[in-house]
Amino acid sequence: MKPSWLALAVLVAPALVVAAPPAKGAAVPPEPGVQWEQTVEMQMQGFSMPAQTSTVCVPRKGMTEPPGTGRDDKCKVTNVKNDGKKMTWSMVCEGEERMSGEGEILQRPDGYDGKMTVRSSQGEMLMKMSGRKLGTACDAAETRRQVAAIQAEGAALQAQGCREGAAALAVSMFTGPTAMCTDPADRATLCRKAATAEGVSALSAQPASTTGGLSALCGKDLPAMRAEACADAARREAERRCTDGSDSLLAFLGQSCPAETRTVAQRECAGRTYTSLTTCYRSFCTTYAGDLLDKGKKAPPPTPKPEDAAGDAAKKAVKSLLPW
Amino acid sequence: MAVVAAAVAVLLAASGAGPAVDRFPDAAPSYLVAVDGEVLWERAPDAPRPPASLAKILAALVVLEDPPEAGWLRVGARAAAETGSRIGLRSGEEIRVADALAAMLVASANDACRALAEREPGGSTAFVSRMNRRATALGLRATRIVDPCGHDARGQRTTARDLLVLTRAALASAEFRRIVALPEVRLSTRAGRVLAAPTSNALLGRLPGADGVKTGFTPQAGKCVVASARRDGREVLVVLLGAPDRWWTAAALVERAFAEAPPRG
Repeated sequence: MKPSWLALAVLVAPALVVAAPPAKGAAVPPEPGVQWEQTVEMQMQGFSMPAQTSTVCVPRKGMTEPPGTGRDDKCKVTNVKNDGKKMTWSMVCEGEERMSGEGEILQRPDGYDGKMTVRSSQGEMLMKMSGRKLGTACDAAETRRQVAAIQAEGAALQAQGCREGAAALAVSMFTGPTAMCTDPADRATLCRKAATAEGVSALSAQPASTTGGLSALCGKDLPAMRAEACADAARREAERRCTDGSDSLLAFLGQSCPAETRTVAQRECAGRTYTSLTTCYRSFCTTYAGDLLDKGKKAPPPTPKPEDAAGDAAKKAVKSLLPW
Repeated sequence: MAVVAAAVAVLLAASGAGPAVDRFPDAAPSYLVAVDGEVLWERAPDAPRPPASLAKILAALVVLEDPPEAGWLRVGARAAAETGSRIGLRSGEEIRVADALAAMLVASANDACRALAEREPGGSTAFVSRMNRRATALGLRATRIVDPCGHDARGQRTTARDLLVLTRAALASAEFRRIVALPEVRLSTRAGRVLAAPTSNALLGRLPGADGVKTGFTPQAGKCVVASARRDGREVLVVLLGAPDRWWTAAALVERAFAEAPPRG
């Protein structure tokens, strides 16, 4: 199920006949209500979700507006017709993923049956709903308070998820028509981190299809970010003292910055013996030497007299190593 | 023949092992890299090569057949006159057998090696015979020792593959493993003269996880090394024979082997 479907299901499903929750922060006074048992079943794109049954407290005045009304700023309910027995309505959700739909509920003194159809670019979802009055008295506001609390908790969880997603460079959470996260502050966090050496390393390990949205999100694509991070890392590496002892800069250069790596190798590895290297550069130069020696799978098979041919090749290799 | 090939293919597939490839053709005329005994990369591993001082691994195995801790040996004139790497023994001096063994392995001291060989009843010739018998017992079919310390000699040969088998057998000895990991050797003659020499293994103390084994060089063999390193319970062994720049190459191959080691089965 795509996130937008999930959002819609959350929007309309938890308490179908419960009135819209109060505005954020508003106090909810007690309200006389009656307990109902209600069942929701969803079908979408060829499969069905198991029916979910729950008990909710509904205001005694009954259902006066369509389910979900007022729960999402992006969705508007229009064309509501309610003669006390049958209620019909239309719904339109704006935003990056546009949705529209129609709903119908037939009310009886002891229950109701209804359905709602929603369409988007992802297909069509049909929601069947029914309710049965249990009759027990209850405080309808309590349910509304619970709904409000659940919605607030959901919003907080999503906000936290977006903050963590930004810190984890989860680009896909911020891009595309179904982006879950739109907070500019989180975007800025992600883009700042993406432009660092650590960020470029992490993003380079992700598939291109994932990082493709960086340009739209941050104004720079990954190669541009890498070029800036490499230049910055090379500058900092040249300025640091060897006693700093951190290999993170060299590790980043070695993994992500071929041109800068060659420059450092020329300065710190070229013409030196293994034993003359300072501790700072030993691992870097060793890895660089390994890269020079590694011919991958394209290596030719041994010749009939391999020791002679390889001996010549080895001598050439050393000569090519020394003038790095 | 086809049946045999098919059986080999099935065995390789069953073990998860693929044929070793020559990923580093410029590393050395003959080399071999193994992780936990599994060969990852190799080049001409069965090509006969002079062993240089890597022969001392076999010499050490022979010495270790008899517990050497308590014994003393007298340094002969020939041992004192040895060339190449030495610790500086003088003719007539006495040193502990265990110290001679350490000097031979740590500093590749030819004077200590010759003194150990001459300690054998029957002298160096008998010691060489023991070395060759031990090689045969280990299944080293391409190895033949003529000089116990690895000086170039007609008919003397080994291979990278034999050296891998030999080294793994030697490393099974806790005493051998302890000695080849030492950064230096320090000994005192029976008369109290103190001698010391650093390890000839440049990887020790420089390459993370490096814990031995042995270096070698002769004009015919070129620069050789068998290097061992352990990290996170995994062991990499690199055998380089005739490597123009053995330290760069050995360090690079060890790093690459740890980085690309297949997951444990």
